[in-house]
Amino acid sequence: MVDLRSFPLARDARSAPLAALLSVAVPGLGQALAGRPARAVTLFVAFVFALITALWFDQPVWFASPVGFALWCGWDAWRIAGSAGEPRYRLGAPTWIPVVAWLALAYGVGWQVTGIEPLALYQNRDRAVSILGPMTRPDLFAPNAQIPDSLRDECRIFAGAGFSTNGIYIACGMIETVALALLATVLGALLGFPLAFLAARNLMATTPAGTAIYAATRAVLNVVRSIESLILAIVFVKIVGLGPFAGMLAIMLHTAAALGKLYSEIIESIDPGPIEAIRATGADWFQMVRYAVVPQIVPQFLSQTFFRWDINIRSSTIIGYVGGGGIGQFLTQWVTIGDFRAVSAAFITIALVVLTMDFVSARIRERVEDVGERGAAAERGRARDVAAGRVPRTDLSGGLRRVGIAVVAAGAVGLSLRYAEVDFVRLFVDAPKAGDMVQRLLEPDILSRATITTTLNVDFPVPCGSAPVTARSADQRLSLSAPCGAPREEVTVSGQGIPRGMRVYLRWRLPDGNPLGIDLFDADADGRYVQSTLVRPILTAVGGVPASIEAELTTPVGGLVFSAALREVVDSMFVTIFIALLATTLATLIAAPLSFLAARNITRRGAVGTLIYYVVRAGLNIARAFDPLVMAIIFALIVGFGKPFAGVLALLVVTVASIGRMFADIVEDIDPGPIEAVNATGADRLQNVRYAVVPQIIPNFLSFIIYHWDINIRISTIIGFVGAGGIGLYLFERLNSFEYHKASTALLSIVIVVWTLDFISAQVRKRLI
Amino acid sequence: MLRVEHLSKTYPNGTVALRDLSFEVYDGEFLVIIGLSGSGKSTLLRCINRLIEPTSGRIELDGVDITAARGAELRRIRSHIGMIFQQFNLVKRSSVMTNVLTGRLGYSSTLPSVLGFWPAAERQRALKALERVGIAGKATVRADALSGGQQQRVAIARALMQEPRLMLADEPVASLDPVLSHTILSYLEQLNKSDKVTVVCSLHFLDLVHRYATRVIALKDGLKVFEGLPAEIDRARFRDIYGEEAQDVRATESG
Repeated sequence: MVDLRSFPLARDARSAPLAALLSVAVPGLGQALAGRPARAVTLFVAFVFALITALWFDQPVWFASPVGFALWCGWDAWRIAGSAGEPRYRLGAPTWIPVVAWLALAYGVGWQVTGIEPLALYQNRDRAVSILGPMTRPDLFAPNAQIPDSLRDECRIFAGAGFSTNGIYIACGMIETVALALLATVLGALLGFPLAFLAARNLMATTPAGTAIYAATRAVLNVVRSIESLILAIVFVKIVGLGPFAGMLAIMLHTAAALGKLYSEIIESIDPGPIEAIRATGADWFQMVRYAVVPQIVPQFLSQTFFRWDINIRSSTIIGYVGGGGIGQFLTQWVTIGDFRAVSAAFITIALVVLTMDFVSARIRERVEDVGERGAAAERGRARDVAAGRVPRTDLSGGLRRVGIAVVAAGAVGLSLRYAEVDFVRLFVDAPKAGDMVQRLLEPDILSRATITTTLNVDFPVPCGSAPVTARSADQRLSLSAPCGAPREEVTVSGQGIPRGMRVYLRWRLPDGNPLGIDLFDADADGRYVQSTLVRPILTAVGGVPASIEAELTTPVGGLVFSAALREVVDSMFVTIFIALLATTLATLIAAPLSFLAARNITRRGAVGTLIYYVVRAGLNIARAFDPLVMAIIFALIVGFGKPFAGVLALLVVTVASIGRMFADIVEDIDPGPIEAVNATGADRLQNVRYAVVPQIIPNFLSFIIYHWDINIRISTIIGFVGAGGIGLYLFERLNSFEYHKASTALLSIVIVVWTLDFISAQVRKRLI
Repeated sequence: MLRVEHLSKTYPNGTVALRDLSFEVYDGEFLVIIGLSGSGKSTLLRCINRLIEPTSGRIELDGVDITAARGAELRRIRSHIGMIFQQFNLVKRSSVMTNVLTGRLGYSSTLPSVLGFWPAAERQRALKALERVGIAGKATVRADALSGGQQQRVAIARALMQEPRLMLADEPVASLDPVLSHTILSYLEQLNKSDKVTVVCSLHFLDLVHRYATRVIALKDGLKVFEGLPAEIDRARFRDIYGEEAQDVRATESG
């Protein structure tokens, strides 16, 4: 590579004006020549983003942003090229200016495309009251409730336990939810485990074949991971029908991909020493994995799996929205018919169960993480025994406990198999049902040409005499070997004089009007075609109406253009990105101050402080218990179906809770030394936060915000399913109207956007910490 | 100037750190506190500026009862007591300048300081303080870019900003190598001699005690087991204080 620092510009202050001019023309160019290639790339990418946004929305005012940005780049290049010293230590123009300008653009466009109306909340207060009012009286318990006939057998145990009718449904739905989440996690982890080894660079990328397997596995994991389980559920519902099994399969597949990727990252971060040592003993690949890799990764694997369980239990509360079973199916129904007392009872149950599960999983994760520690202690104990000439103690209680855990786990999985209606035979037998759908989902509608279509039609009575025979087609482009025929006879269809480039689609038109395809082809060089087909019994005329043969001739006109679907998808995608951006930034503004109140080391002093600490923590935890889609259902009812604003609100609540809690943990983790030192100078509490706490947490905060924007993009790709706007709404509507090619375009855009932002956010975070 | 009477501290988990401790510190002294780790040295120093609340007893600074002070009054007292720490306790991601300026927080009103506004006079003062410890050239550097010895000097500059009458030093050289130890302690000595700042310092090494202390107090399990001149501490008494396992604890190789 060329050493840019040797370029004359880098050393010569007089070339500052030239660098500035270059950078105004091509943002980043001046910086690159002045020896700052990384800064150059960042600036150029940021400029292209601003330009695309402005071009797409095509309003003069938005162009101020890219233009201003280019001017700033000129200023920056001027300062860098014009100052002395090592290039990487030279000071450029203040970076907060473009950041603020970029945010201003984002907010300006975002506000417009997401249709945010803070007043809508106030104007629709009557609707809000009519929804929230009944929710204060949850419908969970009632004496002598009627037992619904449609109740599944497994749920009859809840009858007579004091539940109301809806309460019985809630209990039953919740069990289904937990069961399908449990199975999806266990099976997903088992599926992801072997894949993780194939997707780990340090194990695979030693031979060309291994590298290929590594790259392929990674790619598949990444594609599947970027498609939310709610979307996968739609495909599985098509195959195995409505019910918890479809939801379980969807969450399982998503889990396998997500865990596979996470596991492989854990594997990539292990100590390479033991791998080398075991290889040196002459062990093969599998022995190496068993003895050098597995022992290093078990605790982290378990910890991540339990963390995934937390996520899955939330997803499985909503998977019923698309027919995937669990409490979501009832919740959706109650929202539709407006039974908000039942909705509120379901909410309370979801919160209780999810928080309990969270608590249990957190305890287990803590234990798992010190398992290594305890194992090592036991090992030392045995070594002491051997040294002292005693027979080493066997860890009998540990063995018994392990057996106990295994029995309980097996029991839970067994019960779950029953509640989740698992039937893998059916999955494989019925898989072809989704073949057509999946095939069309793999063919996105991106480019298209305008076409002119001519359809020719000749009646063909079967059998002869069942209907009057029309005169032979005068058009030489479609002629038949016989005017009529009987079943099993062969008829030859031919034509001539077909212009070059015209496509011919031959098909039967059945008496009931439905088409039956024969073939799709181009005519030969002389403009002729000949095609034979068998007359099938289904073509028999019905009530004097004969079947007919049709030739659909299609001529493309003009060049390839972007399809209408693509434009619609890009428009919806912008909405989705801005939903995520607005929700994340607004949530940060709310969550940052809250997090200090929820941090033990800052707030928990004295009775008042302790009270505030617990209240804020509890609030954050409860809000975190809900899947954002559940929130979106309610907000869509208040501000209107299909409004992106509903999505922003739902994401906002969930993000405040999640960011607030994570921020609080970051604040609790800081080095107490500086706090002590600043306290010792006589500073008050606010000064202490400003000088001892804030500087320590800024990088972690920023990193987590960017990470969460990433998560929010994923969520906002599906939040539209429940009526909150963006690409999710578009996708859901296309899927419901069987427009799979358009749905495919939407899916493709989701995969691309999720990947790109994933990559950018990972790069930015790497630099921050 | 400082009078400690019947000071006791029991932590909530039942650990007794200080037992009925009484002593006095006179103006201009360089008082060194010695004792094993866990003998209560850190607790004692932190009780003096109330970073830790004593369980019982009384501390008087220039006749004012520190143990009774609350809120703004407590912060005012703290702003006149400098403190440096074993781990330096700098804000690593902030610049050296900002770290030094924090020493002035007790003298500044909340709003401007929280917004990051510092009068030019205070910035001048900070530069002077850095000059005194010989690292004025590092003012704009991030604190974590400095070596341990330089960080401790920044910490001294921060304490200087408080214009302290009393300086507390909690194992100031335990994280530094022997040569740096002398540099840091000589700054404290200079403060003590030329600025008449009273110093209360906990130390680990016998030769440093002999070299810098004007008077010594020894703690063992929270009890005062010795009070007197450094010259009175010989090997035997040192072994008393540090127990049978005491090695020849010295900072320098000279023996």
